[in-house]
Amino acid sequence: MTSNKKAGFGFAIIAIAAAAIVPLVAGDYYVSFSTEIAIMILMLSSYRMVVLTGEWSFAHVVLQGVGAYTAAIMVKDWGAPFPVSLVAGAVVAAAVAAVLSFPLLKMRGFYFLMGTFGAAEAIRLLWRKFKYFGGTRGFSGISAPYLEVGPITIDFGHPASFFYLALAIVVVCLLVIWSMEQSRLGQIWRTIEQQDVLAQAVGIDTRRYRRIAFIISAAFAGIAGVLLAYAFGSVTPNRFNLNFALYLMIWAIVGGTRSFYGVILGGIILMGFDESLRFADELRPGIYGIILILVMLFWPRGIERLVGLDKLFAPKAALPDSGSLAASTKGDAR
Amino acid sequence: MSVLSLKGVTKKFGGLTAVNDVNLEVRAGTIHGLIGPNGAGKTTLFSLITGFYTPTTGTVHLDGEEVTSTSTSHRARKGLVRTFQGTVLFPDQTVAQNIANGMLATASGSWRDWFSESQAYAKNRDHEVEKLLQFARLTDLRNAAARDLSHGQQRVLGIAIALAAKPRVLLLDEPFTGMTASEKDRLVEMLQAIRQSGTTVVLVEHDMRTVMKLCDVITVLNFGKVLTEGTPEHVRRHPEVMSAYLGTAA
Amino acid sequence: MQFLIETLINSAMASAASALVVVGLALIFGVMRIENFAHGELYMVGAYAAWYFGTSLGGGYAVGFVAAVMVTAMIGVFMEVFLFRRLKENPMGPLIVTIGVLLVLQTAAAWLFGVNSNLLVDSPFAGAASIAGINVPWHRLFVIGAAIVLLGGLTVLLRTTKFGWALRAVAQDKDAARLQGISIGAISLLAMALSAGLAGAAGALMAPIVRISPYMGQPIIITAFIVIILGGIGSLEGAILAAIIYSTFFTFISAYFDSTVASIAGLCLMLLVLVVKPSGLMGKAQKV
Repeated sequence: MTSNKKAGFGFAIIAIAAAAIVPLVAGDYYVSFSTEIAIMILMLSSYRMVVLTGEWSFAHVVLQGVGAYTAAIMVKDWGAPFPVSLVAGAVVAAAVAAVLSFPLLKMRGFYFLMGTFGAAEAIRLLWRKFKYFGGTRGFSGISAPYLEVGPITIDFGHPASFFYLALAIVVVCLLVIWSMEQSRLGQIWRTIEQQDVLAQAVGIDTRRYRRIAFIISAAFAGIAGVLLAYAFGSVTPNRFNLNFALYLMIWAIVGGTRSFYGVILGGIILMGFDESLRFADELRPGIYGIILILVMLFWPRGIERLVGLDKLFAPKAALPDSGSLAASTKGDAR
Repeated sequence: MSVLSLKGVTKKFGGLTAVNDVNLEVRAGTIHGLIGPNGAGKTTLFSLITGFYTPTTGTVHLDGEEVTSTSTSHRARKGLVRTFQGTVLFPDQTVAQNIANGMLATASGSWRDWFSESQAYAKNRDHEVEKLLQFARLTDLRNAAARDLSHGQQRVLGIAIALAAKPRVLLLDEPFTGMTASEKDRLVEMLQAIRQSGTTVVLVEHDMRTVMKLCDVITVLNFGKVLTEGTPEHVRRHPEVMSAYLGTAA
Repeated sequence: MQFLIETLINSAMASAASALVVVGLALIFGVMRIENFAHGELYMVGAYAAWYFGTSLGGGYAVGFVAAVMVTAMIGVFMEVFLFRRLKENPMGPLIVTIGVLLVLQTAAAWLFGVNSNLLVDSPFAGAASIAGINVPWHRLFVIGAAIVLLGGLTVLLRTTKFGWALRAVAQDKDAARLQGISIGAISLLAMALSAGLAGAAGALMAPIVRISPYMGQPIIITAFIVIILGGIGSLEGAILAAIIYSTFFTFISAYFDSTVASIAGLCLMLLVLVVKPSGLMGKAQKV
């Protein structure tokens, strides 16, 4: 296990180093694109926390939107500095998730999916409806963070510096997510996913821990939303619609949700793939549809299995060969 | 001193009364059997004790504290832990992990455990897992996936998981079903050792012979009511017990 | 007053169309326990097929209607044979592949017919009837009538035929049905064809009155899921009743406020039902 841990650590260092080199070798376009990848990875990794408890949610993208809107309003109305809006985005997203969790966490499986969809879509429609949230146009002109410490000033309006800022924040978040997953909390989530009734029998309050996963993952989605707002300089309600929720779900499944690195690797590969589909914009959804169907039929563990690194990063036990989704998604609302 | 007590417990499903005014006192440190013919209400009563159902009327007390309408997990944290009739395990995880999962909710710890596992917790856990592996004679299989164990081993693992939660009352749901004779003997020894260590055992069981051999007190249910209660000797001699069994067997 | 009557007729038509869509969705959930997210796209395919076979190839509306039912039924059979059967072991698997099918059908329609196409399907019932001084296009009345006939036929099929008996048996208890000698595979296949065909019929019925677009299924499926949750998942009667109630509710709120408010109200209604009475209007009580 320790050697695996070391190997995983080594890979992480190499990956971060590789990411850090990007601005030195690539143009602004690809640097901004890399920022988007980093944000997407944070989205996927935090989404996976909910998936770890055995549930699929349609609300995650809208919770990211809550973070983005919070940042936009903080900046536009109060001129808040970046660190303040970052924290506010996380806190407000978590708070919204906490409120939603009261009705939603009574549901499981399909009902939970539909419940999260209903709540998320209602929130999104409120953004469209009310002028306070900028209506259908949303907000634009969110200016980049600007740091001034004595003689040093850094303008994060430049793609490369914003990329480093985003990368640093995402790496810190991933570290926190990773250690939570290794901790007692993460083990509790796994027991809920694998065998709900047995978890309850040994004293695990499954609803409480599913709620914790939902709220914590929302905080990270909120952070991803704040980064998104600054990266694009704008926020629109359509950026958080059902299609993006579907894509998030598809990418998580195609990447593989079993292991921590599966969604990260999946995120990088799929973002690259997505970029290469730019020439065929209209065909994009269909291609994802086909990939999703093929993965579900022939490859239920996603990319993580293809690469075969799963053994390396696996927690103590050897992973079983079959049935990731079969075992991981007990929709018992039937 | 009774560690588990049911007072006037009744459970109705629509017009059907599955359990009717049952009083049950389980004394600490005993092995208490619940028997009765099919449809006598054993499973319903078991579910009422574990918190899967809430009684229509009546109360359930655990160590003097009322738990009548609390959840299964709350009761488990209070020391009432159940096992399952089938083999309900964490099939993909190793035997050792399965046992370790049993103490996730009940072992002491702080919120810091959310972010990283403390040395103290890990050390205590490994120690407890080691003890339980030995007790369940699963040490050699510690790294096997739970799904690869034999049926008998899986049943024993299920009990080991429950024991990891440090129960004061261990509730077993037909633990002997599907076991070979030698596995049964081994489980009888285990349960006696569990009683020895101070844990009260309550079991629902079909296998009369084993129940007679093992239990200190037996409660016989029929038509949702307590028919009689007493030592195995008392139950064996009770005329209505036999006719209850024969009545439904015919 | 005129406005009220017009709104009433519009809600009757919306109820009729959504009942057809929703009944198929509820049917397939009842029999196979599958939530088909692609059901709205089957409705969309029905509309396109009605246009292609009826208008573009010049077959006329009746041919277009029959073609729509057949094409969608075939897609339904395809989904059952090549997707659902292979994913029986995976509880969320069928649901997730239906999302894949949704995307594929949407993209295929956009690719074949374009995104902003302006396809017109001529109704055989041109002109308008005059009811209480309001002009109501005959086709709207035809939709209401056709929906009543189709739903009535479905009821007769399910209540009086051997197929209907077998289908209800499978919906109630798969194992018991298997013991009775019912072939689950055959029933699932037929149910899927029936469910998809009903969605296609709804698409063909609505084709002359709505704007045909590759994305027309999306609001429909959202409405449909809200409705089957309101009606109690898997209950056909509940689904029809809920379709009527919800469509009326939605049409009136849209008419008197606006459609965003109506959507928000609808979603909140669904959440309320999920929390307070997850079994819906007529579903059996189940633990959520």
